[in-house]
Amino acid sequence: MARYELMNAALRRLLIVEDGHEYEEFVRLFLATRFEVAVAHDAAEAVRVAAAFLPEALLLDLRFERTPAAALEGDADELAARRFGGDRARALRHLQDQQGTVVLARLRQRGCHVPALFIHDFPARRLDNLRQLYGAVHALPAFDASAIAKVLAP
Amino acid sequence: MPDGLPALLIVGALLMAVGCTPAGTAPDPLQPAEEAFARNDPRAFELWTALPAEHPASRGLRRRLVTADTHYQEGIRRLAAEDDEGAYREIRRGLEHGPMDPGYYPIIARLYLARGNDAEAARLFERYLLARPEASDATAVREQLRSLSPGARILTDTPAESRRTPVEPVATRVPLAAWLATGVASGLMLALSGAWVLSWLRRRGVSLSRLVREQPELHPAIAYLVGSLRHELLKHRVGAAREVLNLLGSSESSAAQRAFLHARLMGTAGSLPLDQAFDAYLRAFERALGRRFDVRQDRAFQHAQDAIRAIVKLTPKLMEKHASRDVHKLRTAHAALDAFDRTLKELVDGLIRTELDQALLEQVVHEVRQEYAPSGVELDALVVQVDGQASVEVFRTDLVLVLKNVLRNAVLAVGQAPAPRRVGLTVRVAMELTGEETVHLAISDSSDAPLTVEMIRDREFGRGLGLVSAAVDRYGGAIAIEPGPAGFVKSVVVTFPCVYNA
Repeated sequence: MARYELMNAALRRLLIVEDGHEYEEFVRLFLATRFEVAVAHDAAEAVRVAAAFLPEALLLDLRFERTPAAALEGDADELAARRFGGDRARALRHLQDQQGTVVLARLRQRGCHVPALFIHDFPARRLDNLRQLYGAVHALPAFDASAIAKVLAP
Repeated sequence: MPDGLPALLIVGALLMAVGCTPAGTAPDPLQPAEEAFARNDPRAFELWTALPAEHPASRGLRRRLVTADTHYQEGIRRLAAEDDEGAYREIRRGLEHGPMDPGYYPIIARLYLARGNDAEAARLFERYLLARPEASDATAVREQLRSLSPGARILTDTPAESRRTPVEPVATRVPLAAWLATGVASGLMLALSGAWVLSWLRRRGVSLSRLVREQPELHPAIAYLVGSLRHELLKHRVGAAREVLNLLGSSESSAAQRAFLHARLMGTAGSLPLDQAFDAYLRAFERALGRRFDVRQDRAFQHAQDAIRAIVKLTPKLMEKHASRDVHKLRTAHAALDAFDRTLKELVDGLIRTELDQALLEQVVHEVRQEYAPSGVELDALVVQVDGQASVEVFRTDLVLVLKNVLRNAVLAVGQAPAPRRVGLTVRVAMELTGEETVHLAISDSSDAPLTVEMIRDREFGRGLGLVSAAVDRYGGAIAIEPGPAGFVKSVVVTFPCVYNA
């Protein structure tokens, strides 16, 4: 908790969850005047950081290709049995490809209901589904600082 | 297993599948067809498929070809995924049933090319030309083979061509013969010109959208390549760099922001400059899709290439000195890349998609009913129920194959069971936690004959269920056996992910 005590009241608290540093680098360079940033690289860390940082918005990567299998959120065995004919490797690949939404599910489950944004061009129907499941979910097709600020810090 | 060993095993398996001696002829076409397969002649497939339908062995051979094809397709998919052991296993299984369709040789060859195995690629191209010398893409394959192995025998062998008879000097006293000779020569020249034009048209390649229309077997590769280009290059490099360009346009950028832009456009230690990265993607497209895809014939790729070159050329100038004209040109270039991204998205949205609607299901049910009508299998009820429409990323023929085989199995099972005999086919769409949707096709029956997933996965199990298992795996689906709803004993539930348009 101490790490986040000196929060700047003028800035909106943004939790970024990604497997690398691209999102963080972009926000720090182009949105430093709008957001105070905390970063997590997997679901467990996101839950911990969210509890301490109390974010007002989430910026989520979708694909977590660089995250080791052990750190992926989601039950690979259950998914393998239910959707991939018992093939665990395929289930893990799927979890990596969709990890951002699984992290969001976990954060929502832990009471974090702030607006979430993905930089991804979801088909409209899938975005509707995500909103039905997780409330305030937004998506932008590309990195665009003013559009990100408009969605997460209106 | 050592790295090289699976590749060697696959090569061995392919050698068996695509051997090279032509078949002889015999009064009964079955004998040469079987002999050709036994000695792994690349033309065995054509001999099998040419067997007249009324031949007593025709039905059996065709059934074996279908089974073999499922394994070969799976083998190719695994090879593309670099699962060499799985690929070897599937190709061996295919060989247990029948010869490989030569149409797969260029696809496998290109996969080998992408992995730097030029020798094996050349051998497969050669086998393809042996099997199908007159194929529409034979010229393109011949060129590809020439670039890999200029001395390949099939390139140097002169085809048996009719030699032109030298034209006798025509005396003026035979004007009719002179006119005839002139006419023949003109016709010959016209034919040669036509052939050259056709050959040139074939050689010059086609656009990606045309390739999508004409070669559905390339859809998975195209979807992967386009997805990669859009995500890595257009979203992460061009998209992120645009932000700094906006700032450069208003002269507000910081040194850190300019460094960010420089890294995105000019590359870093681990990445190529943007224009070279784009060219590398184009080469990857050509390697995976063959030379039939020609970027020069594709306006969308041409415009994107021009836009990327403009961005790489103008951005450093703008970083040094602000100029409204350059800002305008850069914004135009970025708009062109946005348009390119939309074009690519529209292109892949329509790939290998089948609408799973009431009409398709009723067609399948009708055809299976027709098959079993003569054998007297009676159904007290066969119901079709569709709860919501869905599209799946599965070729229509494969989806029909899956449904028909599960349905056939259910019909046969209830045929041996006491009344009431019921078979049901229902479609339900379910939402996943990721916001994706899956379609569940449940084929339920009233037979208490035992059936397990293991039995379905056992390739030796009859009635085509082994084919179902392979097809479902290929498209990222799953099979489960569940207790049936009211009035039924059990359900075979086949699940596929849904796809939808933007």
